[in-house]
Amino acid sequence: MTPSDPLYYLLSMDAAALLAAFSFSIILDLPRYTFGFLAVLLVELGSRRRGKGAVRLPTVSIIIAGHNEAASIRRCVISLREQTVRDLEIICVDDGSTDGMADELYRLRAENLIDVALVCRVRCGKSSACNLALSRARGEAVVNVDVDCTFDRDAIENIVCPLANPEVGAVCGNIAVRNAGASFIARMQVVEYVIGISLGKRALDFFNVVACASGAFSAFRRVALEGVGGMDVGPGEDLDLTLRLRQAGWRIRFAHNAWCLTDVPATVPAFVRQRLRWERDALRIRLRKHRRILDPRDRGATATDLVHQFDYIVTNLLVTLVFPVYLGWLLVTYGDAAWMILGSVTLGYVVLDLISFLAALVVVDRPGLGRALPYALLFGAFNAYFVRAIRLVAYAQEWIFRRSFHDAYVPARVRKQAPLY
Amino acid sequence: MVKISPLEQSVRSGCLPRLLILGALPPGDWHPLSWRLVLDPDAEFDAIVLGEGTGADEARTIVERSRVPLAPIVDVSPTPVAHAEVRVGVAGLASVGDVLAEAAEIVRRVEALPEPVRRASDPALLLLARCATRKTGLAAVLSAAVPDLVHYPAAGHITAPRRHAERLADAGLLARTFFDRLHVCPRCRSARLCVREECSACRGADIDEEPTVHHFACAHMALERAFRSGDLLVCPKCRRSLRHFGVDYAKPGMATVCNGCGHVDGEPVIGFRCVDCGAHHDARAVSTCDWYSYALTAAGEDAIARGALDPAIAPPPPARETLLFLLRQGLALEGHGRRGPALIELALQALPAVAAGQGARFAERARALAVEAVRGELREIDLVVGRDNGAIIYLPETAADAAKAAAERIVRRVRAVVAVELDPDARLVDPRVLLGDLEAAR
Ligand SMILES: [Zn+2]
Ligand SMILES: [Zn+2]
Ligand SMILES: [Zn+2]
Repeated sequence: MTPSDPLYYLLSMDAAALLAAFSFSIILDLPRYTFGFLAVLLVELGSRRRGKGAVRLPTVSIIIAGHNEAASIRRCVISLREQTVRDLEIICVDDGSTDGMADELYRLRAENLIDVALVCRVRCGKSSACNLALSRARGEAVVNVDVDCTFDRDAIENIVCPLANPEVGAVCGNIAVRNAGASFIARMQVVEYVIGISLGKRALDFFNVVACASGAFSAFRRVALEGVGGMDVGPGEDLDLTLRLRQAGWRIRFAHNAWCLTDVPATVPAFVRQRLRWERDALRIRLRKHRRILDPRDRGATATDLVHQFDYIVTNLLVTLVFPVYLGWLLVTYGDAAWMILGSVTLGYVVLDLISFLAALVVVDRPGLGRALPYALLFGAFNAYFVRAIRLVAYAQEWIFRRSFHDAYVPARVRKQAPLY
Repeated sequence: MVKISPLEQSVRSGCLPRLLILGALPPGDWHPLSWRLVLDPDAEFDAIVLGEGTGADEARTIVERSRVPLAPIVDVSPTPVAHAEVRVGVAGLASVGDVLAEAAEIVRRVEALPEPVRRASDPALLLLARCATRKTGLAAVLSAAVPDLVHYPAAGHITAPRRHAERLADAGLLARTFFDRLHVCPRCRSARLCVREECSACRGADIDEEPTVHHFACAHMALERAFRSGDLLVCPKCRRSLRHFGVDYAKPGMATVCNGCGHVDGEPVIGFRCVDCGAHHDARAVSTCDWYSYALTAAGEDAIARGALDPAIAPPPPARETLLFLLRQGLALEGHGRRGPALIELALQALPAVAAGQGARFAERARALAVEAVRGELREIDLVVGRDNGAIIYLPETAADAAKAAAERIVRRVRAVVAVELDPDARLVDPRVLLGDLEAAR
């Protein structure tokens, strides 16, 4: 080992220099993982102590809105009719489909598989379609599901269970990947969902800072939903709705035992497109529409609101924006040794994410997760470089061009009238 | 030696065809001088004319009893019954004069038939002969007077003409022309159904359509009534006024609102109410029945010229074997989401007494007439198997209460059709018991 060897250089640094070199991980990454592990540990201990008491389940309306989903709506509905909760009111809205979805809905109604089939001749957007279904719903609980989802037999029972607590306004369900074997990128998302949702939302739930009841599978107290006027114009309407429910004083829970399966994008371009949209939407909703929450003068924001906004800013925004700066600084400051430091940082991610995944294997009750273990080894690097790069592009698009306002997710004539944040 | 008919005699001797008059004839431009009028229903005649105040049923009964089973029934009343064979308004007949001329033409054609055909008793052969002598062939017409809604006026007194016509068509003696496809009540087989749009939840017909309104700015979408505020449309979510259609709001769809139960839904569903039995059915539960008009083929003409049907065509399929087969199949299907079959045993309790009093041949004809009447009362898919002193009736996929109703109808029908008192009695039989009996008999 010679003095020009990067490893030698690294080992010869004093404590202060080492802290500086790994400052990014120490400041931005370690606290998040530490809090995460702590929360999971506490949750696990807590749930061991609490048994599931017998509670009266609320009456349930399921609302499903879809655009050109004729091929998959039947599978979704049948999966709902297989539930332990038998007397579900299922309301379907065809949002301007051109693939014969309306006919399929009427067929399902004729077979008594759904209760109401409403049809929009032109596309109105997912929010409006859901609002139409909501205007017709009679259940005490309203469960909003995506057409491409299917459900464990006890999913509905478990997702409405937390609504027995009168403070709870919405419950977010757990999501697993159906097409795990489709491709490498699908496998990576299995790991991502397990760490980010199954484990991550459990931790958020422990601190009462669940911020997004996903549009794919969430339950709402109907009076809470009606109280905030249902959904606003999308995209990102699920996050926006959850934030508005929080502001209205409702608690948001995560039901880790209410499982739904969904198909994730199986190709890299599809994955990138999806993430660009999600990240743009999150930025727009959190930092533009709901920036009030961050304003210290605003009395409406609670401590937990600040926590989840802060969590987003640190673990998503800062990590993404600062990481390239940190990389540049490393290169300038340490020259060749920068690669060594970066390698160590990456190794750190790999180890931390592997530990997270192993923790998930213990905590998360889902068969077949073990098969994703080899991919968990790669997840740290995948997340640190690839996903962050996508995020960086999304932030640029949104910050500079407000791309989310041009998203075809909402029909053009509706976009024109929607408020600009 | 060839026997010469009375009409032939009269025509040869310059006599006119005889017209049996029922009811009061209207005044008009017809020429009674070209006919001889008969007023006594028991006297001989060549055609029957219906005036005011009579029914086709009465005429058919007279034809059936007479020695001229091919005689035409002519309706000259101001309100002709839809299923009268010859009347003003059908087949280009514009006046009573035309109608009577057509009747004379039929009489002439009937007279030209070979004697065995003219005096036949086989309903299939009679139907073929009627088809041959009527300008319209065996044309189907719609008639609200019969539960089938379809009637063959040219069939005259022959019951269940469709069954015979189908057999003749299968044998190539008649050619089918599609007439109509009708929905039929799965319970009583009547085609007299009311069709309505209904609420998908309570099946009530008191429903209204209402547009949905979509407010672009806040994504609110609901029934128009939620937005109505006097003459204005105001969004109930964001309290803004909707001012410009297509710019800040749209009406993307229609919803059905039930005034009965309050249910809001998309398109209404189609439902049927049976006029005859009152039952309500989903569109999916209602089956259909195809009806045809029939015309004589060259083979049919040959059969009439020969004066007889090919024996292979005439006899019905070996009914007992068919019954055995159907019973096995029906009972096997039961419990696989299908309704089981029902069986009715028809007993003509007075038949032995009739045979003793009026002879075995008379009793046999009365029994055959009763069985024929039963067939007319049943669905196309039902099977009637004659047996000593009665018949067994097989009703596939039929609930007990529907079978009970059918049994009552059968008894009424036999009483109405057969003039001799046969003291009919119809009761339900357990299909399994009969299946056992039939298998033991083999
Ligand atoms: Zn109703
Ligand atoms: Zn509005
Ligand atoms: Zn009926």
